[in-house]
Amino acid sequence: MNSMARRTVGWLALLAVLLAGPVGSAAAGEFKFALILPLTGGSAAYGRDQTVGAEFGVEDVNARGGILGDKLVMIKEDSAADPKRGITAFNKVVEVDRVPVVVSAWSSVILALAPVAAEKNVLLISDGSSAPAVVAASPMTVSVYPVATVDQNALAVYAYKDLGKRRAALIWIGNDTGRLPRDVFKKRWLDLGGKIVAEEEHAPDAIDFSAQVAKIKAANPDLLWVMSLIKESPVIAKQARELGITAQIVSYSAVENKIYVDQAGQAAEGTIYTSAAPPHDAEVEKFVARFKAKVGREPNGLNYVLYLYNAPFMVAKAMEYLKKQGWEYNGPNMKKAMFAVKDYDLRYLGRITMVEPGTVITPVTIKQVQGGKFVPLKVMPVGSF
Amino acid sequence: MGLFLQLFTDGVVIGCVYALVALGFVVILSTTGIWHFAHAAVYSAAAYWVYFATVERGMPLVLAALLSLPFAACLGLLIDVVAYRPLRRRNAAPTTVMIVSIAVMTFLENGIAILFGTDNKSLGTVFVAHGYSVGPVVITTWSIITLVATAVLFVTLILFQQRTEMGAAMRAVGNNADMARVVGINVGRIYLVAFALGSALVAPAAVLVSIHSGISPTMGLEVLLTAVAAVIVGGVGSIPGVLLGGLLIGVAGGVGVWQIPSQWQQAIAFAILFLFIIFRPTGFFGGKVKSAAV
Amino acid sequence: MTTFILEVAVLINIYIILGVSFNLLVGYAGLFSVAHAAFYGIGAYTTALLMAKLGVNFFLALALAVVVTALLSIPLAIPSLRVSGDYLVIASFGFQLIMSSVFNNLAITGGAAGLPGIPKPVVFGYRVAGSLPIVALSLGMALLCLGAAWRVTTSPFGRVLRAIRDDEVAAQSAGKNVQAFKVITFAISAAMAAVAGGLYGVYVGFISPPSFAVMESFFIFVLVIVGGTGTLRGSVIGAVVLIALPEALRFVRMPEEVAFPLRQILYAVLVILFMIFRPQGLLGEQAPREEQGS
Repeated sequence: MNSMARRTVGWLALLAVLLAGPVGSAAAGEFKFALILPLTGGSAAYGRDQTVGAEFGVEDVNARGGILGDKLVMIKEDSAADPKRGITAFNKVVEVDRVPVVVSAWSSVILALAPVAAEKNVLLISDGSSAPAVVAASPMTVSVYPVATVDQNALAVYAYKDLGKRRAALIWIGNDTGRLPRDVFKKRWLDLGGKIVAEEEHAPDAIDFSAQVAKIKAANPDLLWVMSLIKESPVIAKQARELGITAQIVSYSAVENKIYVDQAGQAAEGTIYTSAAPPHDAEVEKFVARFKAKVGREPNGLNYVLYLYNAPFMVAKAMEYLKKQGWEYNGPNMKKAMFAVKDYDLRYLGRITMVEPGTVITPVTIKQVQGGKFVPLKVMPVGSF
Repeated sequence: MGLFLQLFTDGVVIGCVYALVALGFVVILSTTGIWHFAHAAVYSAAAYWVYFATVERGMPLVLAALLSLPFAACLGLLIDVVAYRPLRRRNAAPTTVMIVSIAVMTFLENGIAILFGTDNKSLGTVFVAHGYSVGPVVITTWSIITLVATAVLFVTLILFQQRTEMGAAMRAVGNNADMARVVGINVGRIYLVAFALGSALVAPAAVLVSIHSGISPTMGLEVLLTAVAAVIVGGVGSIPGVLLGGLLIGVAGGVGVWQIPSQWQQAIAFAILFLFIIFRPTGFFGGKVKSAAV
Repeated sequence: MTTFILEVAVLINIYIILGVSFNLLVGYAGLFSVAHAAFYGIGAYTTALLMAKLGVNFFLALALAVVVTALLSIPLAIPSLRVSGDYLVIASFGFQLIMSSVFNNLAITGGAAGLPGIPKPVVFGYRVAGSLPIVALSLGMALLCLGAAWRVTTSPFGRVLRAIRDDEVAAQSAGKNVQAFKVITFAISAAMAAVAGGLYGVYVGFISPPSFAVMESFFIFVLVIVGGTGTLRGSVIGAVVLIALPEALRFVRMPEEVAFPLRQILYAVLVILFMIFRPQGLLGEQAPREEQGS
C-alpha cells in the first residue's frame, strides 16, 4: 500500500503543478466578476437556482450591449454554504481568476469572507442574506439584498397600525433565519407600544410544535408571528388552528409556496406576510417560464432568484459609471461607483436604493393567502415604516 | 394547569411517535444485535413511497399506506442481505456493523435526494384540521389515530413475541444465536423475519409523520436518534420498555418547555439519554447490557 | 494560484490534526465515537471567545482551550468505561447533539448566527495574517500533533492501548488500569481536536455551529476509515485526499445537479466497502481485530 500512498502524493503534486500554470488575467474588453453560491451541499437546491438567475442576468446584460461595449463575464464558484469552502472559493477567484468583485450569499459565508475581502481590497457584494450583521461586515462589504430590518420593521408597523394588533406571540426556528428577524421585529413592536405575550423557539429539525403552540395559546395573543422555514411553517399554522388559536398569523415570503397552502390547508387562509419583491406580474411569470424552459421546473426561492438575476445589472451599472469616469477597475473604485449610482431601477424588483454604510432599502409589499392564492394587500413605500 | 395538561397530552402523543419508530428498531436489535441506523432511511423511504404513490401517481392514501408496509419490509431485507450479511460472514465487530449501518443510511438518504430533490414535499391536506376539546385539553384527529395505532401495534407485537412460535424463535436467537442453531432454529431465516417485520413496523410512523409534517430525505435521523434514546431509556430489548422510554422522552420534551426555554427542547431528550447511559445503561427494564457479537 | 494552494494547505493541516487525533481514539484505543466535531467545536469556541472577548494571546487561549476540551471529554469517556462499544457510539451521538445545541443556543457563542471577528494570532509581536504565515503556523501545529501522536503510539503507553484494544480482559488481568488508559486517551484526542479548532477559528475568522455538527464528525470518521485505522500516515493521506479532491474539482466542471448527493453516496459506499473488504483502510497493516462485547 505504500506505492498507493506515493501515487496519491505524486498525483497531487502533478495536479499542483498543473494548477500553478497559467493564471487568468483580464482580457481586454471584458469585465470579470465572480459569483460564489452553494452549488453542492444541503443549500444547493437554492444556490444553484440563484446561479441560474444570475446567468440569465449576465446573458441579458450582454445582449443589451454589455458594459458600454465590453463583455460582462461571470466566474461561478461553489461555497457549499460552508465558511471554509467559501474562503477557498474566494481565494480561487481572487488569486487565479483575478476578479476584483465577488457576489455571494449565506450569512455565514459572507461573515467569513468579509475580513478577507478587506485584506485583499476586493468588493464583496452580499445578495440574499437578510442578517443585519452582513451590513458593513467589513469596509469592503455591501449588501444589495434588503436585510431583516427592512421587512420586519414594515411588518411590525403594518400589524400595529393597519391591523390594530397589540398582543404578539412569536415562534421562530432556532437558527439565524428565525433569530435575526425576531430581534428586529421584537424591538420595533415594543417601540411601537405592542406587547409580546409569548416567545417560543423550536429546533431546526423539529417535527412537532405542540408544546410551543400550547404555551402560545395559554398566552392568548391576537397576533401570531411565525418565522420558520417552509418545512415547519404550515405545521405550526395547522397546529395553532387545531388548538383553537384564532390570532392573525403573520410571516415572511417563505410562506409564498404551494407547500404552505397544501400542507396547512384551511389553516393557511388569511396568513399575512411580507415580500421584498413587488407584486408578481406577467413579467415575473415570463421569467419563471424562461427558468422552466432551462431547468425543467420552477425555481426554488423565486424571490432570491430574482435578486440574483439583478446582481449582474447592478454590477454592470457601477462598471459603466466607473468606465465613464475613467477609473481603474478594482474593488475600492467599484464600491465608490456602487454608491455613486445610488438608485437602481431593476426588472421585477422595482427601485432599490443604496444607502450608507452599505445596504439597500426597498418598498415592502404586504400580501395575504386568500383562497389558496397569494394576494397583494398593500405596498409600503420607503420611509413609511 | 390547563397548559400543563395540554403539554403533557402532546408529549404523550409525540412520545408515541418515537415509540413507534423505536418499535421496529428494537425488534431488529433484540433479535440480531444490530444497531440498525439505516432504519432512519427506511423510515424516510417509506414516507417517500407514500408521496410518490399518492401525489405523483394518484393512488388512494389508504392503499399507499398499506403498501408501505411490504415496501419497507423489502427494503429492510435488502439492506440485511447486501450490507450486513457479508459482515456477518466475516465475523465483523458490532461497531463495524453499526458504522456500516450509518453509511447505508447516508447512501439511501442521498439516493432519495437524487430521485426526489432535497426540498420538502407535502402529502397535501389529508384531513381537515380538527381539534376536540376534552376539558381544558384540545386533542386532534391525528393525535387520536396516533394513540390508537401505537396501542394496537404494541399489543400485537407483545402477543406475537409471547404467544407464537416465531416470536419464541426470535427471542431464542436474540438470547444466543449459537444455542438457537444447536436446537435446530434456522438463524439466517429468523434474521430475515426480524428485518422484514422490524422494517414494516416503521412504516406506520412514517405515514403518520408525513401526513402531519411533510417529508424530506433527512427526516429520519433526528427521529431515529430520539427513538434510540427511548430504546436505551426503556431498556434494550424490552418492548414495554420502548413504549415507556418513548413516552418519558416525549413528555419530558413537552413538559420540559413549561419551565425551560423551548430552544433547549431537543437537548432535553439527549441529556436524558446521556444520563441513562452513564448511570443506568440497562434502562428501566433491561436485564443485562447486551452487545451481540454476531 | 500559489495563495489558493497555500490556503488549501491550511485546511489540510487542520484536518491532519483532526484525523490523527481521532485515529488515536478509534485506531489505537478501539473507542468508536461520533463526537469528534464536538471537541473540535469546543476548542474553536473557547479559543475564539478568549481571543475576541478577553483579548487573550493566541497561544494562551489555545492552551486554555486544550485544557477545557480535555476536561469536557471526561463525561464522554465515562460511558466507555462502563458499557460496550456500541453504547459508546450512542452516547457520543448524544454528546454531539447536546454540544451542537449548546453552540446554537448559548448567548456567548453568538448562537446560530455564529461568532464573527476572531482576531488574527500574534506570535512574538508578529501578526499572523496572509497566507504564508498561517500555513507555517498550521503546519507547525500539525507537525507538533503528529509528533505527539507518534510519541504516544510508540511509547509503552501506546503498546498498552493496543493491548486493551485487542483484548481488554487480558490487559486488565495483566494489571493494567484499563479505565485510566481510556480516559487519558480520550483527553489527548480531544485536546488535539481543540488545537485544530483553535486554528480553524483564527484562520477563517468566523465560526458557526454547522462547522462542528454531526456531519462533520462523520466526515472525520470517513477520513480516518479511508486512510486506515491504526496508522498515523493513513490519516495524513486521508486528510490530503479528502480535502484536496473537492478543491481540485473546482477546476474540473461536472453537472452540479447531482454532484453533492453523489459525493455523499461515494463516501458511504467507500465506508461500506472498506468496512467489508478492507477494515484496515488504505494504509492499515494489521488484520482487522475482533472486539468482544463486555
